[in-house]
Amino acid sequence: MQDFSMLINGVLALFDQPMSLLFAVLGVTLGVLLGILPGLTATMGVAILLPFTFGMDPVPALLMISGVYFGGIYGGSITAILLNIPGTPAAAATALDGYQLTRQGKAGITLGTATLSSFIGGTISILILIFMAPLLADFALKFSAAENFALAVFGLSIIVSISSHSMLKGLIAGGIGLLIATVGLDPMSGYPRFTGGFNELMSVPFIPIMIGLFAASEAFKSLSETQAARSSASAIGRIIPSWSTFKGLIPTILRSAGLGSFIGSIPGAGADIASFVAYNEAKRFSKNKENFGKGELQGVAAAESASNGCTGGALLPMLTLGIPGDAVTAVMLGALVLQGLQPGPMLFAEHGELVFTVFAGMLFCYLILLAIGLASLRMVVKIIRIPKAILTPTILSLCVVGTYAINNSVFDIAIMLAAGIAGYIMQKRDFPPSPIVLALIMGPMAESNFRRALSLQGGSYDFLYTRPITVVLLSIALLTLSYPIYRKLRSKPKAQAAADAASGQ
Amino acid sequence: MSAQQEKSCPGFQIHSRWLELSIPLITIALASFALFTASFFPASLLKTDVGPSRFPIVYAILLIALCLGLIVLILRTKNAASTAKISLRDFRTEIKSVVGIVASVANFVLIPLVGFLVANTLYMTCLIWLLGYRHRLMTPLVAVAITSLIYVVFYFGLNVPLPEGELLD
Amino acid sequence: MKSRKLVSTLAKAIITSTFILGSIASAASYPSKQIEVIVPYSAGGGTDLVTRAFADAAKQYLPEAMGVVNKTGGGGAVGLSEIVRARADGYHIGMGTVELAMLPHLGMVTFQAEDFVPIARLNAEPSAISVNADSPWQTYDEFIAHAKANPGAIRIGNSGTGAIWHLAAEALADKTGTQFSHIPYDGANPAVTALLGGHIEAVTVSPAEVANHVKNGKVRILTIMSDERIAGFEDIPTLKESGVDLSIMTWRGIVVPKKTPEDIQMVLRDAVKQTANDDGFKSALAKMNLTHAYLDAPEFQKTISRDDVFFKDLMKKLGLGS
Repeated sequence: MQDFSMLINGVLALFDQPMSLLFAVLGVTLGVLLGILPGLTATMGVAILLPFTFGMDPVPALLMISGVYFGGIYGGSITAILLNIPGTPAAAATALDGYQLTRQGKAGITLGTATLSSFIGGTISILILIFMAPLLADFALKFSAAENFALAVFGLSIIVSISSHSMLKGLIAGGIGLLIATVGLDPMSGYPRFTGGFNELMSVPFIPIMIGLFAASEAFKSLSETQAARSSASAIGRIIPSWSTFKGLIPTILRSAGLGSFIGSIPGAGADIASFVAYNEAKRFSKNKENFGKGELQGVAAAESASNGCTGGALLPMLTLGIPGDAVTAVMLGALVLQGLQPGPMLFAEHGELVFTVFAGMLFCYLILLAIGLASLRMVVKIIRIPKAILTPTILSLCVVGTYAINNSVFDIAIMLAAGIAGYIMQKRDFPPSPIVLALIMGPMAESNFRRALSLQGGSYDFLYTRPITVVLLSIALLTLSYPIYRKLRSKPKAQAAADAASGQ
Repeated sequence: MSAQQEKSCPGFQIHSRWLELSIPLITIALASFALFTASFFPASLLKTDVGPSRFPIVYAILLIALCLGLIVLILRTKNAASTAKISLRDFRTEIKSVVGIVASVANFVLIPLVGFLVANTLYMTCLIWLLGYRHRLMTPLVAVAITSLIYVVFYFGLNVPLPEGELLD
Repeated sequence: MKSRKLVSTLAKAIITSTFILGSIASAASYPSKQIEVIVPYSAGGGTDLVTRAFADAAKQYLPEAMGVVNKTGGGGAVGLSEIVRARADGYHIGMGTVELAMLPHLGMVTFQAEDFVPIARLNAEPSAISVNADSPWQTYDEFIAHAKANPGAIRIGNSGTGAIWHLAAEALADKTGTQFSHIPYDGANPAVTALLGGHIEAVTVSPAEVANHVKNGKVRILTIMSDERIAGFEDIPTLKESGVDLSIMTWRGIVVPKKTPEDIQMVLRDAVKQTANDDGFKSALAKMNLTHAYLDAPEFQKTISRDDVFFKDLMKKLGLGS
């Protein structure tokens, strides 16, 4: 209850500072714009803004950075839904069903659902941060290499659930992704693997590959499509879902918000993992599993709620322990220290008033996100009405520029194009691109943590079954992996021909 | 375009099974190459580490096994679609995609030489033309307008200077 | 054959003369346009933050604000190679880091430390041995005695194999004849997190990188690998005081490609000196827990040369190079 009254005080203090509110609005707007552009991430926005915050008061500075962070994660979903171009890795999970819904002429309601889910997921995670921070703080420290490895294996097992169309082809795509993920400096020995002597390949060029696989290959495909084939996609429909539709989504949104906050609080795991895990769980709990991947609103709601749910989660260990979980929170930690605030167990006690003002401001940021989202959707959604002759070339140019902007590297453009061409050919033969992206996210995490755990245990494999969190996560992974196979095997005698066609075609 | 192709290879046909097999076969080739390369990776300095080659080798073997599985499935399927012969003519619907890909590669080669502004204007003009908006004046103008807009957003808005081109300096 | 030689000689002559003419023309009015600083690490990291704070402060001393360009990849290899290759006209400068003296010996890059001309060092951070506050070791001597008694039992987290903090731990093991288990993490922050969680016994990252946790009473710094005690941590003894002659630091400073004309270097040195001693820059560094460590070009060059030799020997000994 004391926390609650502190929050009320925070809200009151916040509304005494119109400048803080203004900077929050500015931050969210900028973040959404950055998220929409492929290749540009919230991290980049935060880094660019940081020098401007040097001379600012703590509250507006932190709120502007938070705004960019929240907006950036949300913005990635807009192009994922409308054009199958995930602006951020987390939005790759949103694109799975979001783009299918757009093709069915339901772009409006999908974007509306995504906006509402982002808002609710984000708000819940901030509330969890405010009221449960001390309880959850130490949990982040329990995650050592063994637990992170198990989490990555769980993430990888989701490949099975997102390749419902053809399991074998999905697994092959995942295997290709895993192999690509080993390109670059070996995480333990520092040996350059498969780099062919290119310095640029010393780390996996993850974002260029993602932009190529999704955006460029989609654009290449659409060059040959006739306008008529896309006409159904230009329907917009209503934006805010009806109550009866939305009611069915609430359990998914709440569950995903919780999952997102939880995963976000683990250092080293972020919105990308959270959105895929939430998608997987939404499918697990759903009655019509078959519809996932073909245009299921639940999938979009889960991915969006979880990725924004991550924001509060990631802030939690940063504020309570001084541990930044990702690049954005690392910069925010810097910003806090810059303002003379010492993140850690004493932060809440020593600077309670200021901290709760910032919390109130973060809730305000999400309100702004909701307002900006809903107000602009009518306009944004018209992107799909732009004539294809203009839209597709613009997308391809943005792919090139966005890829270049990540590292200011022309080399990355070559990677993006290669991935685009490979993605185009694979999609023509029904190989899904999302398992590759998932494997690229999880593969390096699985390998480095497995080997790190091995070194931490002096070479013993005990960590696989002696640590409770590891055992639980690995069991869930096994379940996720085996259930669809079990189902397929059981249904096989009934529809031998159909199953064969599905897996072979 | 398509008429020309029709003449140049009138009776050429491809078995659709080969199309199906192409990706698993290419993947097996790549995975084998990875397997071969990885076997030369040095051992790790850390005594308790499995070394840099372990994971790529496991992944490559897994991938080869999965691809072999898919090949067996494809060869066992005996429905009409899988044994049909596809005439090369049927690929003419994809010709625009292929031209677009070629244009993209050309754009990539040109960017470091003539800079983003020139290369991308040419690229967009070509793509817009390809997509059927063909006007001697308006097509390049639209390309210039969008390219400049992107340039302004990135250069001034995001502080990302785009390549300027070595030849024009 | 002959004509080809003639053409190439002619071409060389033209290029050289253009360069000379160009440098004369630009030196008189330098700097007349935006200077671009290449940062070999990603936006938001320590090196990036130093550069951005520097560029922010440099506004007052230059006619036009500097542009910061991140060229990331390969643990700094991509960006540092880019600096070496950049046009030597004074408009392309770089934020050099200790890796420019390390990477050449790992055999992964084509440049040498001599390919850079130093302008000024801005910041330096020594390595420190830090342990969890709950651990039994109160001093460095207790720590190293335990390590010697139990070879391989002490797990030291670092920021990546071949990175500066890994070499610091290896150098310590080498100097003292101890055996540690080196655990590489993906950067200093994850290593510190593992230390807080009790998954490892020690880290060798800089004092600044654990300063927050020291203030929160969660981490204890046992010793710092610097020549003298450093500001902000005056009560912590140096490794030299314990009789181990080892000082390892990472540093960041402005460097330019080798062929940059000398008069331009002089102009840059002046501007960088003014900026480095600017109160705004100093306080920005202090706020980010980074140590201000200005060194003018000649002393900076000495640091680079010394580290170049040191890392060459160390890596050969460890078998890290190729």
